[in-house]
Amino acid sequence: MRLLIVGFGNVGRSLARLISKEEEYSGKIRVVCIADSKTQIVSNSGLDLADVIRRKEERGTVGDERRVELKELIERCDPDTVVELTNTNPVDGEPGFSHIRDAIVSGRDVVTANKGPIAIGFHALRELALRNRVQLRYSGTVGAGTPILDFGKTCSRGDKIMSIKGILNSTSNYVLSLMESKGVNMREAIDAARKEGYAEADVTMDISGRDSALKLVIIANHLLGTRITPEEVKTTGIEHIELNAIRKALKKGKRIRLVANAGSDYTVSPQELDESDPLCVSGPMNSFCIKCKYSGEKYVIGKGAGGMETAVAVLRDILSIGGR
Amino acid sequence: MLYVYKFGGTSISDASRIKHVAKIATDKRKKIVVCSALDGVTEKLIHLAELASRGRETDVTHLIGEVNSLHSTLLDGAIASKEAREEASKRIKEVVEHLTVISTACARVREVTPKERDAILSCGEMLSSPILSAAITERGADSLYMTGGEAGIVTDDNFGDAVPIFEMTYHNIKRKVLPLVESGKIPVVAGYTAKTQHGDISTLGRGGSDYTATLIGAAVRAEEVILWSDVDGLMTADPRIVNEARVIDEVSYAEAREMAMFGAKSMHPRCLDPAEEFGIKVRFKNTFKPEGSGTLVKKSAKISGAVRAVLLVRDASAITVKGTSMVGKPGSAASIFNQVAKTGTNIMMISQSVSESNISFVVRRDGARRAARALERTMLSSGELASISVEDDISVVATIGENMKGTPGIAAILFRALADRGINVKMIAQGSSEMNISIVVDEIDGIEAVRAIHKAFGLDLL
Ligand SMILES: NC(=O)c1ccc[n+]([C@@H]2O[C@H](COP(=O)([O-])OP(=O)(O)OC[C@H]3O[C@@H](n4cnc5c(N)ncnc54)[C@H](OP(=O)(O)O)[C@@H]3O)[C@@H](O)[C@H]2O)c1
Repeated sequence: MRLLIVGFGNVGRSLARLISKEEEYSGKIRVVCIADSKTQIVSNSGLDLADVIRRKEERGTVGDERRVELKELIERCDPDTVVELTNTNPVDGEPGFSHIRDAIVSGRDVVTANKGPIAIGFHALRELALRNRVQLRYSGTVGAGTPILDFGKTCSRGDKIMSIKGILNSTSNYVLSLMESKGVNMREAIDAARKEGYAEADVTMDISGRDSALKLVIIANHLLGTRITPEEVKTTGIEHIELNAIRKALKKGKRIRLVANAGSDYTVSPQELDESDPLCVSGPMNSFCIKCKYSGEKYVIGKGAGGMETAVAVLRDILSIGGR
Repeated sequence: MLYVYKFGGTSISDASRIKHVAKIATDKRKKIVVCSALDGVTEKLIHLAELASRGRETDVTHLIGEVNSLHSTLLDGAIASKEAREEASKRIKEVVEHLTVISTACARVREVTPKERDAILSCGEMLSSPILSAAITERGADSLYMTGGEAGIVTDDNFGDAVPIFEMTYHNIKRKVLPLVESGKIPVVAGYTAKTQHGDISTLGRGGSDYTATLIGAAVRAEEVILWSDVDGLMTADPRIVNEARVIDEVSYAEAREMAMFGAKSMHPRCLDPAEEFGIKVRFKNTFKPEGSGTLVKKSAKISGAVRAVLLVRDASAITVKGTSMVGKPGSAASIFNQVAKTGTNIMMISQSVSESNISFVVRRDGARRAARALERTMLSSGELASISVEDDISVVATIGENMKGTPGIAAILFRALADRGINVKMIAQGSSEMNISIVVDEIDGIEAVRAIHKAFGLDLL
């Protein structure tokens, strides 16, 4: 397989590491182009991934040549799959949306972990892929390495999913757990999360609930066949949760978690969960509860963030396209 | 609440009409306007493409001059202020230049590809719409002209009858057009025109402006899409042949589609689909009688009576094919219809004799020769068919109504009415939807048959 990777940050580099480390993949997969926001590097016979990672980490860019349009890159290196790993933009999904659209229109399969364009243009991009007879896979957009979308699809076969509930954002969950266990306030908890690598410099998306809302849209549209958009999710973040409220809840045997819910309506909001509720996970974990009409509730728990975890989801998508 | 107003070609065909339409378009509602080409211009452009394909460069230049002056004169007559004219005048000049470049290039190589043909045909709407936009601006509103492609309508590469890429189209319109309306602007979109996902100009097929309107209506979840033309709405029969014909208040999407198929209005066959999918109401109204309420197409429409309309298709032909080898051979009918479909001819009705050695079907007369020739070329020469005959002097009378299904005795009333007037029925077919009964009569009996059925079901009394 010939891959073009656009976006070479945490996830992109983890993917490159994963591919170069395991011979099983490096024999099968050739990365013919990597682009970041400013430059690109192309090799028709396949890039030396360790070398590109080193360059990126030493010099901040993957190549020397100034970025050209994705369509031109595709023409130049003729990949069969484009891997889109640029930053998530919750407003209009750009630049990811255009990257994915252009790749599909050029007849390439697409794998992405970028929530913005998939949540905002879910049906538009899926129909475009269908009409161009290419694959569009995005399992890394939700749950990082935890394959929740595929699991849900399997659940829906022979049964009907009635509702989906979950903790979809690791950063906010880590912050809430820390406030709970260490008795620190939110600011301190966020700082600690950053130190541990569980939060970015900017945590607005996580704390405000918007990241969870984007993921909820993807889950609902993918599994329930709805056509909701991020604006339609009633979203309340955890920014106003005080230590006091957390303590009070604890006394009642409850924990405050940022819960996303898709069923009769679509919400993201802080809720008190029973300690014994399987949904009630702590630390950088995600949890999902899929409620089916005939076979009842099913739970999935897994780590919900991390460059390598997400890279695994991306690789899984790439391999399933390759093995088709 | 948001509306989509689409104006047909006759509604804007002279300066006073443009002003009248601009007045309608500047009522208090928030809206998006869709504009057709001026009456007769699309035909001129079709002719232009034809001339170009035959290499008649002088005629091409001449015809472009004619189209240009038609629009320039209209612009001068309809728009008083120089500033309001300027933008439209610039647009018209650009389109004419573009048209000249393409058609002369085509004329030189004596070939017009489907893609070039679309580029030529789309010019009609791209010339008329800026004029309407200017007229709306002149009334003090903030109007903005855009092509279908600019508005976000994306299609596949099937030039001439392109299929929209629906979800992407909705996505684009929501992002490009909706914010304009919400900020108080009145976008005027050139109907019929679109662009492919690779950015080339494409068109939505005959009657495509209606399709433009319903696509936009679906994308913005419009309260209503109003299709303004020069008729009062959908009628129980053609008022030119039945004096008592009247406007139908409400019809279902299925009825409207069925009526369109039998020519109640030259409507795009798929134009109601986006509206139906999202439950968007569509209203047919007369530009020249805006006070009338027209016909409303909606979900769970108020339907009174089993029969809603009786329509006449005069220019029909019946094609009868015979073939011994096809007795008992499965799929032979399918391959016949397949050959006909390939010529772009729509089959209105089918009837097959019991022995199966005989199939008759009815098409519009202008497609009959093409269809028959295609069958001769393929199935007659391969021996699958023994003979093909075309009968031209026939008409189809279609009796339509959603509630005919499950109402007993309809056929009895219908055939009694015809028998009483001594009208001979040559062929009968019931649509698989049970929403229409179509009969074939001699052409000279057509009008009388419509009047008889219209009266028998009391459509004149409602
Ligand atoms: N990290 C996770 O745990 C995780 C989990 C699930 C999903 N995701 C999603 O995966 C995606 C990547 O995440 P990440 O953690 O790898 O982000 P990141 O470290 O910030 O990397 C983003 C990369 O995108 C590049 N980029 C930005 N604009 C670009 C453009 N116009 N053209 C080409 N490249 C462009 C950046 O280029 P420069 O290097 O030049 O700045 C950078 O290499 C995001 O959408 C994220 O939401 C991440």
